[in-house]
Amino acid sequence: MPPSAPPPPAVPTDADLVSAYRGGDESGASRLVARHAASLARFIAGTGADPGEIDDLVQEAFFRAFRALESWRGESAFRSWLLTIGSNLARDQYRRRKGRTVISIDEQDVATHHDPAATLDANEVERNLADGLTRLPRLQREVFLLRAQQGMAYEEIARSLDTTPGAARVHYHHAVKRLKELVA
Amino acid sequence: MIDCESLVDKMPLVAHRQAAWTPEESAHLSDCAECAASWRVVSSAPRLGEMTAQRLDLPRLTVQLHDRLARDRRTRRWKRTGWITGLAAAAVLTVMVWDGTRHRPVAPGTVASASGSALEVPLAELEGLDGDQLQAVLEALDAPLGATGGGPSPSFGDLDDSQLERVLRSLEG
Repeated sequence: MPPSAPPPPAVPTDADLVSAYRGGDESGASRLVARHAASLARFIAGTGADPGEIDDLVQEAFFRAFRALESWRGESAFRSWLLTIGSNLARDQYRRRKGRTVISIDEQDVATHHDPAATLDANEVERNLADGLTRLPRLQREVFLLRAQQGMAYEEIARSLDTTPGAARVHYHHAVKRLKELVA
Repeated sequence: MIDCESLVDKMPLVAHRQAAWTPEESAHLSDCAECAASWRVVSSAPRLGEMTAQRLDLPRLTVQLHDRLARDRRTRRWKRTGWITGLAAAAVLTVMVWDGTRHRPVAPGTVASASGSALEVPLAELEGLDGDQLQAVLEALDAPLGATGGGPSPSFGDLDDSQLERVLRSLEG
């Protein structure tokens, strides 16, 4: 009988990493950054933030999150808490720019696909989608991003945006309906 | 019968591979133009901003973040220490002043002020005076300044010869 392979090491949860960081283990923070920076950047980009400021906004969101970890009691997932901070920062930046939304439609911002025909089609849809998002009311845009881009449940979205799950669902459906018209 | 609204609700889950379409739902997506259009929108969303995320310089971001957090911790510690030190100094000062005024020993030859408070004024010259003399001093202190000089001013005419001579000598040096 072949010797059984040792079980793979358990992947620490976000709560484990937060506890480690609170206990003085700096690597807990590094692992949380590695785990969530990309989705935070995608979310902030989707809100229409200036592409040149996304790195700074991501760093600022993490800084505020770690600084306020003492007050985080874990009632919401670390990621949704982080996205809430990111949403607030993007909103502040939007106000500073006096409502001028910048959506990059740079070729680089559109994902590549292996099939050239599919790539062209997908790129066009994504470009139109990015453009369409700028025309939505803020709450509809953020609910759509949290639901469709981030895959969050309505309950989690409601906690993040300080609304109800029912209202979040309504915003999502309105956003999809409006984006369908804009993307078509 | 497939409900279009429920299908749109499920779309993010399928787009994030947390669920899959049933054969019935797949058939509906092929037949319903509205649902197909919704699916095009929702299934594109997870890829939004993908390249922006890939351009993130994660090592640099992590280093800068740790630096900022360390600086912030130092600043907060200094502020906290400053407050505590300030409060402690203020407390020590208060105790010293309060204690000093309460327990200062009364030195021989000092007289407590008339107010009867803890404040004491040392006046060693008054020690040798008896009751009547003290009373006279107090009356003199209480009297208005003008009252002390009530008599006629002395003139050189009032002096006798020897006194006048002393005065003249003192004026001549």
